[in-house]
Amino acid sequence: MTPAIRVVAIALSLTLTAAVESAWTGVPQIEQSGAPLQSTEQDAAVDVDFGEAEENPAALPDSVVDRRAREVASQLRCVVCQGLSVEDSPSELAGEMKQVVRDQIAAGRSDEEVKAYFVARYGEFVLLSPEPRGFNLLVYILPLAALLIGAGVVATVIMRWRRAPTPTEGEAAASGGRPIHDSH
Amino acid sequence: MNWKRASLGALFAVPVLSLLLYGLGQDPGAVVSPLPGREAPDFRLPILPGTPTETEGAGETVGATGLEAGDSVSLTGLRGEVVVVNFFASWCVACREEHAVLDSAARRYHDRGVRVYGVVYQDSPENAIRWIRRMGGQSYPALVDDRSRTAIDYGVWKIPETFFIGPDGIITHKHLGPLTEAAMERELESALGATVAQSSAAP
Repeated sequence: MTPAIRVVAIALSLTLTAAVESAWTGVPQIEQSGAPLQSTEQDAAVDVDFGEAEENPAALPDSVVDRRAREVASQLRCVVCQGLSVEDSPSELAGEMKQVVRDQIAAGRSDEEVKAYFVARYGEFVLLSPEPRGFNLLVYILPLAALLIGAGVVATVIMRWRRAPTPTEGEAAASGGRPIHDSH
Repeated sequence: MNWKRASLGALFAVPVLSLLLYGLGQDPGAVVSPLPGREAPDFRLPILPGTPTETEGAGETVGATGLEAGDSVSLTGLRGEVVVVNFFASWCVACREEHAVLDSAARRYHDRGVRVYGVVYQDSPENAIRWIRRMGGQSYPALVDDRSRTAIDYGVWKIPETFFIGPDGIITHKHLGPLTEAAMERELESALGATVAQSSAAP
């Protein structure tokens, strides 16, 4: 096995192993069919109307709510301008989605819970970065694998260049030359 | 031809090409909704002026009824009926295609316990009223969704989207795009079928 093939084989095996393993062990984040959606499981305080933040003795300061809302909104895909995050999108719906994020955070939900709320309704596509699990892992691993493979190929080619003398070196090459060493 | 090189190249190319072909075969617009099979998110929405406060049966479309304070529709109040929730807007071309289908189904299935509601999506109430008038009125109420709270609660991506909710409050189907007569009947019969199964199981 040439070095290049070895690198390629290792990279491919790593990719496939990681993808398969995570597909086996991944626990679906979305609740099973028939289970009530998240909002109905919360107590009435966080239920139907997200318009008003609950009167809460441990209420978060506005600056914290704003910062967290910005972070979560940056991870959600705008439904209208699908390439943009909810935070960046100028569309009216994005503004409304962001308000939902803000209200839920102010009402005491964690970042993960807020994201889960949207995923439970829109599907995983509403997250700008797919959850690194199962088939989605390919999105993260393939570029890395491609980089490794590419580096491997480049390294091998360079090594071969070094082994074979260039035409200007060596008298033998000047007179018609011996054939370049074929590693195959 | 160097077969070793060719097969090595194929070893790379085939998986990547397969992945590409698989991806090209997917429609990014057809997002699979996780909602069918789960409890429909509750809502309480005011009725749009100019639409009936109740679905008309076989009778004529009611003219402007005027919104009175407190005229709103709550989903939990509709438990026991099959509910059709259709998200629409005046700027939505495909919504025009399905309007007649919704209207006729609302009349025909009223007595079998089906209630149809339109929900205004990303549009002003005035535009919606004008649009409905231009469509010749309708026999079922349209609801105003303030700040798109309900649309967000239902994960609406691209209208028209129509949700079919069984008498037990579980979403039976989410229809993407304009409804055809055939699809409407199929989904209504299916949702109504849930009623039969339920009542036969009842003690």
